Amino acid sequence: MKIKNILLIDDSEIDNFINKSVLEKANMVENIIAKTSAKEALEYLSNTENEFPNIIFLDIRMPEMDGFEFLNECENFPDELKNKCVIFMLSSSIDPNDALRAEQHKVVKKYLTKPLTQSALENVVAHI
Amino acid sequence: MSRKLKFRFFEYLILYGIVVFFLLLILTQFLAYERYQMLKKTDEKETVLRANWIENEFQKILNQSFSTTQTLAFIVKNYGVPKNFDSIAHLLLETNKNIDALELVDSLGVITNVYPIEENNIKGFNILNDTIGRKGALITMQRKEYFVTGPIKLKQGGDGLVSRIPIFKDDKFQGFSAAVIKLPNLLQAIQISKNSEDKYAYQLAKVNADNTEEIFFSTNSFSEKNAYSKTISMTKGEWKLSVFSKKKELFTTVLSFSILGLLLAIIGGVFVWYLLRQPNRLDKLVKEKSALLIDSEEKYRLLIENATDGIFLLDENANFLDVNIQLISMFKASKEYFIGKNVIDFIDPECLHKIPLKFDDLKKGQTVSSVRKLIRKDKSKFLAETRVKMLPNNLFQGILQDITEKEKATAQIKESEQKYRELTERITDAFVAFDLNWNFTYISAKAKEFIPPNYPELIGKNIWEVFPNFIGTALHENFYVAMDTQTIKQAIRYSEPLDKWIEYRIYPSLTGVSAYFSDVTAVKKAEEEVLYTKAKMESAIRIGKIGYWSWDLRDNSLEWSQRMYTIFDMDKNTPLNFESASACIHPEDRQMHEDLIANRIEHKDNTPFSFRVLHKDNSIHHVLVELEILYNDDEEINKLHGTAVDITDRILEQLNLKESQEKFYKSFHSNLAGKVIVDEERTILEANETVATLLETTRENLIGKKLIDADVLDYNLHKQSENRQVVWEKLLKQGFLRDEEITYTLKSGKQIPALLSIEPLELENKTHYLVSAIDNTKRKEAEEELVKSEARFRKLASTTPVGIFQSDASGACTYVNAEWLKYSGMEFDEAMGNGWMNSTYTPDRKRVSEEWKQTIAERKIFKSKFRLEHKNGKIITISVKAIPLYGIDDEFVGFIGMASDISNLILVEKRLEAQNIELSKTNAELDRFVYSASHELRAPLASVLGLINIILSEEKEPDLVFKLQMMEQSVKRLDSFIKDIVQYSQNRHLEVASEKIDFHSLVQDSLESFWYLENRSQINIHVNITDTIEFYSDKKRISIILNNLISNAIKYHNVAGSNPIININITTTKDQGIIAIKDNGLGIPQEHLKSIFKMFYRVSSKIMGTGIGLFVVKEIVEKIDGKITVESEENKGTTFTVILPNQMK
Repeated sequence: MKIKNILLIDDSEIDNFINKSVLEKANMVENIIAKTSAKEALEYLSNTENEFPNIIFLDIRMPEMDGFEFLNECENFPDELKNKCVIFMLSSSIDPNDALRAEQHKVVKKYLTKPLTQSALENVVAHI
Repeated sequence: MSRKLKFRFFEYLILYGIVVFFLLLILTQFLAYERYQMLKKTDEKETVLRANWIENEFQKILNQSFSTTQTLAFIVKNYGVPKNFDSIAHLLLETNKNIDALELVDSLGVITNVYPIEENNIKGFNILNDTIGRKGALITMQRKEYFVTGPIKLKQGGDGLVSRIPIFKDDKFQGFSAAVIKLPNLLQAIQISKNSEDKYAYQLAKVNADNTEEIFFSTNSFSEKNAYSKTISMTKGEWKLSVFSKKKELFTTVLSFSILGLLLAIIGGVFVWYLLRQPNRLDKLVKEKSALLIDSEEKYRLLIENATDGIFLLDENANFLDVNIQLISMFKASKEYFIGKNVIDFIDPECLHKIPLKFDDLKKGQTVSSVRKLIRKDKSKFLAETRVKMLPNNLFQGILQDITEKEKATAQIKESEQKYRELTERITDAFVAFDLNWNFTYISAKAKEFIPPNYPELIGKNIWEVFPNFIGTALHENFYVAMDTQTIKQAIRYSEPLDKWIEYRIYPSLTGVSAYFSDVTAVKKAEEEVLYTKAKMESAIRIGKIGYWSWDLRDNSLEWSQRMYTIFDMDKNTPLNFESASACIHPEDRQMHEDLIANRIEHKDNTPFSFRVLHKDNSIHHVLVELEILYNDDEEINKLHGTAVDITDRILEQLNLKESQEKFYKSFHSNLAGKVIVDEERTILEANETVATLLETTRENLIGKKLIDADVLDYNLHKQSENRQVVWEKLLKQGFLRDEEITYTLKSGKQIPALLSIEPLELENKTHYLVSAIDNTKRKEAEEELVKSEARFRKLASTTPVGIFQSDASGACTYVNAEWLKYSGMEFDEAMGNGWMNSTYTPDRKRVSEEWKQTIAERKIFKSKFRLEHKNGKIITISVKAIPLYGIDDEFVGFIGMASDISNLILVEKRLEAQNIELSKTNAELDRFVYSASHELRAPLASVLGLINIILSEEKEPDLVFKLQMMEQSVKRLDSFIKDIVQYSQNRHLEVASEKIDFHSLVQDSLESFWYLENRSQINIHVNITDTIEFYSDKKRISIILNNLISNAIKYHNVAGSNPIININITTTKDQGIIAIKDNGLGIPQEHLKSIFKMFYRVSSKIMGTGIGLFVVKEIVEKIDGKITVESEENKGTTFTVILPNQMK
């Protein structure tokens, strides 16, 4: 069964490209949307009630709005939407505090460190 | 012959008297005359003086009159008669008080003006026509000057002097100015009165022209004759005043003196005559007496010869010189029989032996009387009374009286008196008799004993007057009743003043009353005594629970009192006899009792004895029996009787006493404390071995002596004996002593400090004292040591740079050292007690005070910080710690504490705190920086890796793949390095946390995070965790340790070998957690083992490593106080063991 919608949020175009490539190669996602800022992602989410992503890969350190701020905003979404969606943190930060903070959000499924690899993705999907 | 004549002349003794009389008369009369002359002269002198004084006074008055008249004349002459004559005259009289009136007379002699007119209304009177006044006025006119007329009879009445001044104008007579001085006023002014008591008499006379004198005044007592007089006359007057001496006494004194002289002369003459006459008188007297003597000698001789008593004369050797006829007849001998014989020869030798002659007394001039038995010539004997005395000529004269008859009569009287006395004395009663008027007529000797000794004679006195206190008593009534009814009355009364019971019997008769009375006090007392004793005995028997018994041996009948039943516990209905009584006695004692009775009877012995009685309740009672043996007339025993007492209690008491005495004895003698019993005199009655040993002597030496006499102590030290005295006095005062410290110095010089306790011991009704002495040497030494150490402490404290203080148990400060004083600026004394509190900084004081109070109460450690304000105002903060201090006997003695000035420390602390805050800020920043930096570093690497992965997944070109793989390795190594650096950095600056560690999840996370490592899937990883005991430590650090060790174990594993395994064993205990990670991989060559924990040390180049991982692990392990060890063998495997402390405790 393919995952319907995946949203990638990363300020780095390269990383978005890499992640998109890895996902596409895995061939398990119908629709991949990438946003280069958390704000854009929020806008997108608020407008796509039907196409609400099943998985979000979220970077932490981003300009304007970082990943944690985005998580706080996400709390405002209705529960039925949130229940459909899981978020994976995907960051190059190895600060344990970041991992701890992320775990405090129920919606966050796992904290992943970059780069996203084929095996890491398989491991993650197995968790769902 | 002439001599004889002369001698004869001198025989007329009266002549001597006459000559002496005349001589004395002449002498005295001459003296009287001389005296008269002298007195007369003095009198004359005084009279002249008086006259002169009067003249002088007179002159003064006349001068007044002159000056007034002169003034008046001057006014009239120059100004005519003034209209205001009255006021002028008034003025003049005011200043001249002795002038009575002023007048003006015109040329015709008519008085025109008079002042004061009231008493002198003579205006218009013509003096020239007056017979009396005319003469003086004319004389004045003729003289043409001031003249005093008078004394004359004044027209206005009375006598007076009139002084006038004629007024002439152009030689023509104009009139007079006149002043009147009335006689009484004049006399008053010169202090003369009619009844003068003065020494002088006065006479004022007017001298008329014909030289006749008219007397106007003279004092009453005037006697002109023979009196000395002095006359004063005035040139400007027609009068004279005579002063007469009135001294009549002058003459009388001289006369009396003269008479006295005459008397003296007479007495002198008579006295001389009398004196000269004395020898003649004596001579005459001797002659008269001699005649009398001869006469009386004759009478004496007759007396002696005719005396009824014998008279004798003895020489100094008691030989008879003379005896009278009576004596001779008494002895029935002749005079010759006596003469020359010694008096001793006539005295019965036996009598002489009994009463020796008293020659010595005689020679002293005493009269000696004696009754002697004398021997007559016919050898018969008779009794005679002699009275002998020594005469002036040293002879002895005696009178002797035959008293045989008299003696006989006396003896008879004596005998009858004796009989009478015996008779009356046989009547022991006192006897008193009264007449009908109740007056005492007789009081017997015995009766006098009843009368208080100080009473006066009673005979003839009324009893009711002498003893009024009897009136109204039964005695008084009985007397009257007896008298009235003439019946005998008898009664007993108690006399309080005599303290006696008196029985009296009154016998009335028609002539009076007799009363017999006797002292019955003894009887009365005896009666009372009997009653009292009886009552006492009864109560004694009752109280003493004494039983009485009586056993008649003849019929073996036994009687006893009720008490006996109780003592023997015998039923009262049981027939009583010896056998039934014996049945009550304890079976063991029955035989003994029987034997004892038999023994007592046999030996007539009444010694008490005791035996046991068995009561019905099986209790044993001891009975003491006292007995008395009664005999019949034949001295045979017929009865025994006596008492019985249950003495069980007494015996038990004795036993108890004995037991307690034994206990006391034991405790006394085997006591570690020295024990001594002394009496009140401090004599040692008993002492135990301990005390003997203590005093280095024996008990025998101590007992019975005073300590001072036992000679064990060195008493030379005065102070000690004084101390002991003080101790003893203290004992007497408070009754006991407790732990009194006293030091004994033994003879050997050894000092024994002892603790003395003394308590009174009542033994045998005497107060003894039980003295306990404990050798206090060790304690004393300890105390001394304490004192020394205290001194050392003080010395140390005084020099130490820390404040030190001490308090007593109440918290009052007792010591502070110099440093402390430096903090407060106080003096030592100021800080004592609670004084130190004043140096605390006011805002802190209340808190400190409360903290200190609580500390004292709880005796806990005091720990506080507070501020002190130095006297100079500087405030410092001190840190104080005080601990409770305990003495030798673990008694709480107070606190000792230290205080240090931490003002600087606080500053440093504050600075440090600030720095810490700064530092932690810096640390947080650094932390963020490290992560940010690592993130920024890692982000591109991750991108590169991601890209490489993508390319690798697409590219199949082997050469390119190989190169990409190498690129991937390099990037990964760089990535690992960054991670290690970050961890290292974190370990260095992050605080060590302590939280509960869940090893399971940590290991799981770690294993999961290494899924990507290529060896991972080929290795069997066994995890064995035993963490039932909770383990606390730093979670992040343990996580890093595990990650590193596990990743190493995976990375450096030999996957080529058979069955690659990693064993992870974790065990927790209370103290530690042990983590062992064992692999069967490549192993580490031995030479590298030492260096693997070094930074940048890499064992193998085969595997991409940073060379920093194990270094970081070691750093972290050490940071959390753990240990890491490694065991390894090449190609066999490696085991890392980490032991971490459990921080739970």
